[in-house]
Amino acid sequence: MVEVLAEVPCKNNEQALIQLMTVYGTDIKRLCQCILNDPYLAEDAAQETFFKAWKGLAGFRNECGEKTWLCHIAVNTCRSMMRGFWFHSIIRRVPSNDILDETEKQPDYDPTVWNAVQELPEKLRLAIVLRYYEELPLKETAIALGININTLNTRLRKARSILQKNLKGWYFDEDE
Amino acid sequence: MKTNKIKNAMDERVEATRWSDINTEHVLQRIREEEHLTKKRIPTALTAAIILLLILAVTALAESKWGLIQWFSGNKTAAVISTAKPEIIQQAECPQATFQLTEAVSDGYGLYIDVLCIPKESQILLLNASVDPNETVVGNIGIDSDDSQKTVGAWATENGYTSLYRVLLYSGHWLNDENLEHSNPASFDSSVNSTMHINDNGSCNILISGSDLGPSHEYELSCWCVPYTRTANNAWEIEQAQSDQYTTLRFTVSEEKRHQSRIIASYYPAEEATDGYLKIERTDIVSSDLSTYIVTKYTLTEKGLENANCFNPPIFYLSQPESLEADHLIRDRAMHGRAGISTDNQIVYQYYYSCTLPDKLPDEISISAFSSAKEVTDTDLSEATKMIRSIDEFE
Repeated sequence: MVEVLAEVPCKNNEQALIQLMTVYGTDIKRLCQCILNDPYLAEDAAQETFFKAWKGLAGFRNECGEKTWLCHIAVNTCRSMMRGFWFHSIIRRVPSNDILDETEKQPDYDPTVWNAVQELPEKLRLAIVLRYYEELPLKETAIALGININTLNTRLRKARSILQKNLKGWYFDEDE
Repeated sequence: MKTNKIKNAMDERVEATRWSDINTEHVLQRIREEEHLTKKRIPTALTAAIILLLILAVTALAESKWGLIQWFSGNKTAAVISTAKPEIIQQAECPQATFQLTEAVSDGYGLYIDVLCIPKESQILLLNASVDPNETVVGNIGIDSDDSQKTVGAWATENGYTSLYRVLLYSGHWLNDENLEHSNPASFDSSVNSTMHINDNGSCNILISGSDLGPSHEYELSCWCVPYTRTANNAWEIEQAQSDQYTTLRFTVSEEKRHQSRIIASYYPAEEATDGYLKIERTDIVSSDLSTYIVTKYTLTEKGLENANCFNPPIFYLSQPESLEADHLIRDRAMHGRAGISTDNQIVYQYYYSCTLPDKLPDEISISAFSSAKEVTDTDLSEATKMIRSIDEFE
């Protein structure tokens, strides 16, 4: 994994942040979209994540990977947005001229899995997205979510059990 | 479906999402605005600090010279225990003290009792079981002293109390004190939680809580005064309680003293939570005017029923994340034993905590049960706490 901050002499500066955004920007933006299921909110959340990261750069002590650290900030930012008035007020999942339409217009695109993941309760969805979409190791996923590994395993087990039920016909094997 | 298919399917949905130069520019612009604001904030913060210092100085002066603080605060100091004239519903006597049951209320789960203990001689000091005169400091039991860190024993000696007694309040349904010998210890099925407050006139109020056994139940509360003796090195040592030297308060809890309780959130384990002997069915969070309860209901499996005679009642533990700040902790005041509730064709047992929920709930709490067999799968209450949060938000 690329460790951007190790190559930048002074942490609390724009140069380090620009490097972080270049390397992890797309990953974080996609993560936010997976959590929020809204491309516009995801853009705001990703930008907010890097702004918070800039504020916290001086305190980052490499106790976890840079990506895990950014994921942790992104998850908390998305959680805050989901609990806000705006998130509850807007009508989400309404097709508009955005990238979701472009994806959905593809003839072979099947939204079954995406919808099944989005239907999961928030905590289970976060665990699934970080572990299986971002492919963070178990320990790093637990750090990003601020929980212990046993709790994470319980959530993953529950999430897989729900997905197995909701994706009947799809789900024929499990690799863990 | 393998989990990598989840990644592929989700990747397909978000593959058009990319970080752009515009995003970078927006973040950098925000940073510049923040830096600009910080520069402006420094003089403002300095001014605010100076004003605050001035206010603090004036306040300190007012408190010491003018007495304005007292004038403004008036009678706002909250009493630990209501000083309203108590209504005596039962009274019992023993050689050292009179016990008056001043109030007994319940809500279907917990029973809360206030017993006023009045010593018969002025040199007698009555203490409840949770107070150790050698360790407990006076500030913790409502004694007004110049030195709140002084031990109760030292304070008693200084104030002319030559006889110290431990008050034990015991019911056949509640276990009170491990040192207590009683003729029928097998009837213990629950625990008592007690707190005390010493009044200015030397009497004390002891508040105890236990399981509510229903409106028709007649409770018997046995009251002991167990003496402390002074050892050669000036420590206080408790003597053994005598099983026949007690007096008894008898009472029922009338309907008008029964408070309503309601379930505010329920959680059903997503996966079967069982160790083979017992099975956790559901966990409710119940609220009343008196307390909040975390009630875990469970049934015995066939194997559990077959082994019921040698199967010890399980113990439930409420666990919270270790990193939780004190303000966010659920503080459990008492953990009660099981009670059987008959439903259609089975008996459901319940085990509950009487607890205090914090203003801001933790993201997750869990209940684990330990039976004589092994640990039962954790019951994650995260969904239940989320429900409470939702209730709080919309109420």
